Amino acid sequence: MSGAGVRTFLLEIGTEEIPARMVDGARHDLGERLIGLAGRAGLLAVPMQAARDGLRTFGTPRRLAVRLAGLRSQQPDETAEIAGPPVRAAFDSGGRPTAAAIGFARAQGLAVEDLVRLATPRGECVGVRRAVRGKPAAEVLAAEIPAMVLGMTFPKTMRWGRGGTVFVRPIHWVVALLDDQVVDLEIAGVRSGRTSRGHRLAGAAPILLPDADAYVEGLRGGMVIADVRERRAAIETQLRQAAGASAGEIAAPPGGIAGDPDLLDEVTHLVEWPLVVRGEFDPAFLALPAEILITAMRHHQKSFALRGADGALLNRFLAVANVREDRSGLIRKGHEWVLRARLTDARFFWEEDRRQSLEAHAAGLERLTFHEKLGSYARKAERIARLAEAIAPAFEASGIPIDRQAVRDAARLCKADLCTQMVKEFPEGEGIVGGLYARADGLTARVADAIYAHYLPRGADDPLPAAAEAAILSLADRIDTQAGIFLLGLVPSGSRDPYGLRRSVLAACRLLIERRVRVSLRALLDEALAGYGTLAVDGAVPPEEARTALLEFYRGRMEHLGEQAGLRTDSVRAALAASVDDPGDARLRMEALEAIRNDPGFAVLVQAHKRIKNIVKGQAPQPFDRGAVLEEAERALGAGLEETLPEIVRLQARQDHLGALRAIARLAGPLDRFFADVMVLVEDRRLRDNRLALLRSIGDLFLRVGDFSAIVVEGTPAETGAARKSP
Amino acid sequence: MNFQQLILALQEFWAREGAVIQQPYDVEMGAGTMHPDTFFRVLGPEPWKAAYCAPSRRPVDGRYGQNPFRLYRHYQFQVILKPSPDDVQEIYLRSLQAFGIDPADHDIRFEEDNWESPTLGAAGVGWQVSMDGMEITQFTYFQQSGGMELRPISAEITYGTERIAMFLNDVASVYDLEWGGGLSYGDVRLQEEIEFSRHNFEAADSDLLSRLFRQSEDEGHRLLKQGLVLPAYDYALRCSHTFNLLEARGAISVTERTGFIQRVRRLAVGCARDYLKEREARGWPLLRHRLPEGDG
Repeated sequence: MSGAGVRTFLLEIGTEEIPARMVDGARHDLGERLIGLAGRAGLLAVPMQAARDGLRTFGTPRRLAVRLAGLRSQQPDETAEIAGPPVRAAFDSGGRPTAAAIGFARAQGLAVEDLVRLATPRGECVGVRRAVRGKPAAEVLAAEIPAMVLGMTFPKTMRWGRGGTVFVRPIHWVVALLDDQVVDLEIAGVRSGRTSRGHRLAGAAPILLPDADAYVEGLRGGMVIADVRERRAAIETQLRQAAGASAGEIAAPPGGIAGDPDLLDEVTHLVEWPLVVRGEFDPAFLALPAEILITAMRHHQKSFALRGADGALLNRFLAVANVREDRSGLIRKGHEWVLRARLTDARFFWEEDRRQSLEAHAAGLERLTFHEKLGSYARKAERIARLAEAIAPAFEASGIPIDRQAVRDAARLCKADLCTQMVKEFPEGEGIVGGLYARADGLTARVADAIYAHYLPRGADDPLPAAAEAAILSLADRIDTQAGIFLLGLVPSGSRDPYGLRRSVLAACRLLIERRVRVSLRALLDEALAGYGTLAVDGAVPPEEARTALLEFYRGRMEHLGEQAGLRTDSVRAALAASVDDPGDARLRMEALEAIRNDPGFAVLVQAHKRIKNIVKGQAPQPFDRGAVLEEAERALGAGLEETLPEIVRLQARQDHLGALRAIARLAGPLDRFFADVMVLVEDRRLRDNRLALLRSIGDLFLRVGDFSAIVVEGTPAETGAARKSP
Repeated sequence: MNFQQLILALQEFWAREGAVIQQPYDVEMGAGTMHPDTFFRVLGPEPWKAAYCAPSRRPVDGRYGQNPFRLYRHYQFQVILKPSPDDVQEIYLRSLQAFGIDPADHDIRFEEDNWESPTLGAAGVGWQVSMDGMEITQFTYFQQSGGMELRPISAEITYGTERIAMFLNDVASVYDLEWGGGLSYGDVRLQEEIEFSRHNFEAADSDLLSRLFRQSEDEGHRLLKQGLVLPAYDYALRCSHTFNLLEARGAISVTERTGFIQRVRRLAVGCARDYLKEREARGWPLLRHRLPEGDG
């Protein structure tokens, strides 16, 4: 229980079923809002960081809840300052109070002599200082919580009934308890209380909560596991036991991860009291490809497929129901019936689709819209093919052999499965289904595999396509979409990313980085943009503008990837400030910077780069003339530059950026001496220009690896404002 | 419980809940939402409660009677409740018991599913209700219709009657479902599915359909100008169905598609606007009625 004077607040918003995809975001949002509110209102008894330890959020399909411990029972007393007119307006030249001052004092219920002087952003003013008594926590919460809850954001909201309120789903009950006291408030016409509700099937019996700490156990009594992690773990345990009892394990979805964590997350948010139900289907269906079976199981039914020790699919599945028990076996029977219907349907699609070759299905792409302003999938397939031709040489130059004919054939057919009944029914089977049909049509394994895997990686953690041909298609397909959407001027921002371009660009970067393919992104994007010809539609932007915006977007995603890989933000930004044109190379430069930044000599280079940037700022570039030097330090630096440059070019050609950095580091001494001995901005114009040219060349040399000046050396803040928030 | 008993049970249940039991509309349409008793009644301030069986024609879904689950024409059972009652989910769950489903014996879930009809300018937020993994109902809170934000909000409940009946009767093909009167669904409907699939995919005359589309569109706008909202809407429905046929026939290219949808939408939105004007001019007649509470 809470210590003396320290309180715990519980808030539960009871709703109709919240979309599974929104529950986690919403409960975190609720928690952040509450702790923020408590902080602003002076209700936290401990510092914010410690207060976080007392914050717990809960979420089920029918409720969002938050509990915050460590609250004061009362706001601290404060002195409020109320500023009146400025001093110069409050007194006349004789120092007598003006009408403005007298009026202000009267309005405050004071005599003018009682006014004090306050420093304000408007200058010194007369004013009043008043002791403000802190309000009881319950009063503050009652006043603030309704707007806090209704101000929550969701990917999609709705109205209901008379339509006066907007929220994720209709609100039916509200629990608000400060320790054992109800905080009396009203949200969307629903009055708060201490009564929660259990699982739908537990009947209408209300759950009376004696105090805020009784929440989790109280709900458990009503067949609700409120804690998301606990519920997920409970499902996982049941799944493992049930799989074991069937001598199997949870199969990975096509192109996904074993154990199917995505599906596990989803079902966690579809149930309040999970029960794993085991079912079987007719083994005759096992003649269908495993991918089709797994997809049919998980798509509508959210059931887990099982595979045996030999890797082959079993004719068994696990469904996660929202009940205590399958008392008459009807749930198992129901799921089995439904799955049989689905598999029959899938077999029908398979047989129907197979009456035509994939090639014949491709004819239908003419009539399939890719984007209403960007035309059909037939055109898209043509663009993919062209772009793939442009990407293939980059793979080959990076030492990855490519079957060019397979790339061409697969590019032509990779979208054809969008015309099949199977993909219309199971859109997530895109690519996989085409690959299966290609194999069944007798196309070569290379072509079939390229089609099969070209949509990978779908999620951030998904595996990359194994075959290089598939990787090329994957890149071409993605870059083509990115180019088209950016040509329409639709740059993703905030939570608006309807075409999933963040994910798409991340995937493209991963493919280039992890496959170690060297490219010029700029050239590729130009190629992709050119694929759309002249786009005469509303809102279209010129290709150069689209390319610039898209390159910036890539920079943001590369930054994200670099940070995710554990690299420090300033190393990442420094490398990207040099260039984003080759994502794989940029990553290597990030890593090299990260490796060398703590070397003692490196700080000198950082400082030097800052000085160089300051000095050459705004100066027109000039070639450095080694014959025009005067000072020894100048000559030494010039010689160092000329000696280092070819070495760096050679090292960077084999992407040895750490070696390049070490070579650059040898310039630290000459640079130090240069700055100590040589005056750059001298009267003699020729001398000055030549020194500037020398420094600029040194700066350019640094920029071959990164913008050192963006690196924060311990104790010295970065002075460039290169901080660029990822979009 | 056979197919017709299911529909009767739903009618009976919703009649007890105080709904007007309407009959199917006699113009072809793709969904019960297009029935004037949903499309128009969700607009404006007047309360409304209705239920009806809605034959829904979807030319591209035709499968020549070969697919055990897919039909060119199926029967939705549509309920519209305006404003959406506070306990609408509980009422819905009780309705399942009307045809012998005890929610405690099954895994009933409300999974997010939002709905949008560009041709009607309509959109809603809600769920598909799944039972043991099968969607049996589309449950929608109407947010927009005729291109306008709605207030109050209607709840729309659409039961998939064939699926529910197949589940209840444990049959693997819709054609084996017992309809009633000793006949199967196939006895009653198979020929229709075969012939209309052939018509929709192979025989329909695209030139004629294109002309019909244009003529229906013109006629709809002409009637609207004369203040004949409901007749104009019939022509909007004809446009919509003709468009669906053209699409099944493969006669609409990608670039044309959006244009067709926008043309139907313009007519439908015009109907919705003028309907509101007309109701307002009549003083919102149904505001005077207190809708009966259910006695179930």
